[in-house]
Amino acid sequence: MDRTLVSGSMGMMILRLLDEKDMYGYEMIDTLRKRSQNVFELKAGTLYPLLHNLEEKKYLTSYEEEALGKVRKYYSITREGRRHLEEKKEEWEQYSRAVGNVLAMA
Amino acid sequence: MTKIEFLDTVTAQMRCKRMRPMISEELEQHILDQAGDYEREGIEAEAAMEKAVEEMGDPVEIGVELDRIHRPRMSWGIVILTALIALAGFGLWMIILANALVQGGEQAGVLISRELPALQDQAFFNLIGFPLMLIVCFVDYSFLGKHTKQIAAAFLIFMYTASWFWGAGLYGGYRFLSFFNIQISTVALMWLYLPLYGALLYAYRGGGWLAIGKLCLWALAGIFYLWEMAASGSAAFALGLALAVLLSLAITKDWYRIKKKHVLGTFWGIMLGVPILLFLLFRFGVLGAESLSAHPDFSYRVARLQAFVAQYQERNNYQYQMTYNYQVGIARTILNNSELIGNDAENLSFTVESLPAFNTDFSFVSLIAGYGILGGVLVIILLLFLICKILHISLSQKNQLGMVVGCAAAISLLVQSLMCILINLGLLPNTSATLPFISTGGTNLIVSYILIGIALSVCRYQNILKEKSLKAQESEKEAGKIFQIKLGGGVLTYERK
Repeated sequence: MDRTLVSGSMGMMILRLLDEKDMYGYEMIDTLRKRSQNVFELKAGTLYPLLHNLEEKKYLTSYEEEALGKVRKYYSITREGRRHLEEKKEEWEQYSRAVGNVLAMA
Repeated sequence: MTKIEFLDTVTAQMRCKRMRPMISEELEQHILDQAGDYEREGIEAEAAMEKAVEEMGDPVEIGVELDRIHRPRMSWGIVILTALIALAGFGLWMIILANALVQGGEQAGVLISRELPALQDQAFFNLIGFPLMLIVCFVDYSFLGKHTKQIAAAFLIFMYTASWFWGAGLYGGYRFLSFFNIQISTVALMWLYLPLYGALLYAYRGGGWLAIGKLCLWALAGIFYLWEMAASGSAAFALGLALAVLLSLAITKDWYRIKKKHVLGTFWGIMLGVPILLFLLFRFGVLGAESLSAHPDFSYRVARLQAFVAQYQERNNYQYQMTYNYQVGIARTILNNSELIGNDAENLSFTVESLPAFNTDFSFVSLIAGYGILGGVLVIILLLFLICKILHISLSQKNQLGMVVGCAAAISLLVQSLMCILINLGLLPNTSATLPFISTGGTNLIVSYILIGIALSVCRYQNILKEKSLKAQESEKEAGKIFQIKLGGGVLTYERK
């Protein structure tokens, strides 16, 4: 089991969001907050290092696009990123199944 | 904390200065978005901004984390490989001289007085070239992308005019620039045109057919220099081949918005088709040899090509080989007598005494004679591995200017190496050739080090140099469609219908 499961789960969620469409940073925080019913309050200070790290690992690429006078940096998931997401998802499901099994025994 | 204070604190943590504006811009946009949302929720503008900045988190923590991700990186693998190959080259000439000393005889004295200065030069230029490589590595290559055409034009103008003023002749062309006591090889210097051409390819992106036409003219300006001014057909061929490969790479990347398959097909069709057609026309007597002999330069070149072809027809005719293909014949004898590992003293002496260009054009043969077949091949594998490593890193670059400039450095070294090896094996017509870092010659060595330095610079600043995609550039052009009206402090933006 991956030791960095919990910290890695944030990266997994980001990849999952970008799997749907390209987004910029603020959009990701906003979407994540709404989807998790305010459970995940991701701070910008955590998000940007995370995004840059994922980009460094070539799971994401970025490009700038101007929309209505604002230059925004959009992130887009790569093929490698999708593969990584699949792996992480599987790990996560295995973990949550295991937790569920243990809890069901009690 | 104000927005400005926050951004300054974050970027102050980052060692890499070039990354700072990019980070600052992204975070600022985030703060503005957040503040805008707070305002919409009914918070007053000033308080909204303050709250948005607070929401960002600890600026020092963010800055330190971003610094860790974006630190400039040195590709030590490339540095070490380069040093190993250069050492192998220098060691080879040491072994050969030492062997001559041990063997003694009257030839040895002549040889040492002739080759010792070359060895000293080689040591000197290695000692200058290696630090120069590290200096070039710290230079930010992005300036190449900003004033590309001026730099490339200045380079060509310098080459043409300097040859006019200081050109020193050899074989009827300006092979050297002679300043004071220094002789600079023009053929070696022209390899620096390749990275410049890479930057040109980048500069003409999105230009369509017209760009292709202009790029062909830029290429011809370089090739023409080697063909006409330096009077070196082989150097013109080598540079031309490298330029063609680089141009094809750019077309494959769809930089010019043209049907790339058609263009590449036509381009390489002409490149390969014309020589084949000419060959067939001569072969079947449609064009006679007399049509060539009208031009003295040409008949000379044809004679050399004929000698190349004849060496296969007269393969076992020793007398013929020694008369018309002396160097290649000797090279073959040396290769046949080489040990598997290490050297045979007699064979090594024979190399030095019978092969005049043993430490320049025929470096590969000397490498095999000096280190043995396995040893020599190992050095070549290291060299090819180094080139592949540079190619691999360059091709996976995000920054497209870095990608093409890095590839240019690799292709230059690759074409030089392959040409030298093939000529030494008698598989290409015998012309002047250079094995990078092995062959002696100050300019060659310095130029090779500069090329590696450029490659290191590309690796070092991988994710740093920000660039706009073609898509973003186009959307900027279309920005004319967008209306902006300033109202009080805010900006209203409308899209034109």
